[in-house]
Amino acid sequence: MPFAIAMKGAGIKWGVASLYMEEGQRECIDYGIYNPWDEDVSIALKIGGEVVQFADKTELEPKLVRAGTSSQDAIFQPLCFSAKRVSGCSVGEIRNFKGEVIAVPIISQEASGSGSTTATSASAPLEIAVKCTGAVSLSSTTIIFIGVLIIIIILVIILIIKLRKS
Amino acid sequence: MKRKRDNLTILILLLVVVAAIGFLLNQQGITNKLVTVTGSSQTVSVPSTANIMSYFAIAAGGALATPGIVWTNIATLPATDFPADADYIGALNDLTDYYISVSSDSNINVDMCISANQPLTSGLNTIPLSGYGWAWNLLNDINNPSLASSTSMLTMYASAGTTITPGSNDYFRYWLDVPSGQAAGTYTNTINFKGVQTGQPC
Repeated sequence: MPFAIAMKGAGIKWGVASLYMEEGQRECIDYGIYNPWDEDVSIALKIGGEVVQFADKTELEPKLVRAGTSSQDAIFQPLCFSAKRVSGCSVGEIRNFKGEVIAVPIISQEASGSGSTTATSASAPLEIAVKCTGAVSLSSTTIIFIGVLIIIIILVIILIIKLRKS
Repeated sequence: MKRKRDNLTILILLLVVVAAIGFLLNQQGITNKLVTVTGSSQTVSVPSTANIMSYFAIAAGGALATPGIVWTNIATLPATDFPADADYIGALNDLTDYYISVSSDSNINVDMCISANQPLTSGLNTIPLSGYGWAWNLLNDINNPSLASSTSMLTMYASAGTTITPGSNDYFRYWLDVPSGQAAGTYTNTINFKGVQTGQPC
């Protein structure tokens, strides 16, 4: 048997391994992080592989997860994906993109001589199937711009009506 | 007549605004949606949920957690297949203290992957990864993991254990080749372990 030692690591919990989206669509998936081990640890969620191109954020801020946190008490965080236009994809075609979501514990370790420090992580698979529609996904900036434009138009219309009444 | 034309202009502007709002809502999926898997063209969406969750946790154990994979006793060069400090320990020097644990409350089996971030490095000097041997096994005894089954470390992930069940360990041993004439120094790098659901690629 190995010698007893305080263990540090990370756990990941997920309910979605594949996602179907149409171009222009946005979906969010909740991922749980937990820590059934002996010591408190901060855990960051990172996205890897081909699905990175669709992620709103490729990495979330680390969250402190207390030692002895079971999978039942996992801390869930949403990761959002926007299916942007896939280049070279014809309308109606479905393209698959493979990737993963990784729970990375932030553990500092100092080598006590020549050799290797170690890092562990736990990975959940994620495949995104994108149906090409020709739709364009709008960025947040574009949405704000269009929203402001709409408000200005409404204000102008109200102003015209008021001026005509007076 | 002019007033009628103005009214018409305002109406058109209003329609443009409404259409723009509708376009935005449609683009961003703000409208309520049901995700359905359909086998035919005529479907009725009924809210039905089967929420199956998968989860697992891993941690480095023993010397893998602290202090890491260390060679402190390489005195003469060249050194070939020199075992790491915790490769053979215990009363009979027959056990390795390098292992990764899969937590007992996991609900899936786990495959392990291993990689190095770079060769062992001291300033501008390196010890090539081709001489950084490792082996894994789900058993831990004098013969397992074995030098005979060892392979060289890579900077890309390689399979390092399959179908590790909840509550069990994946054991490792490491060996290092140091060529003659290797400059003195403290050589370090980082070895990454990644757990994936059994059957998934590294």
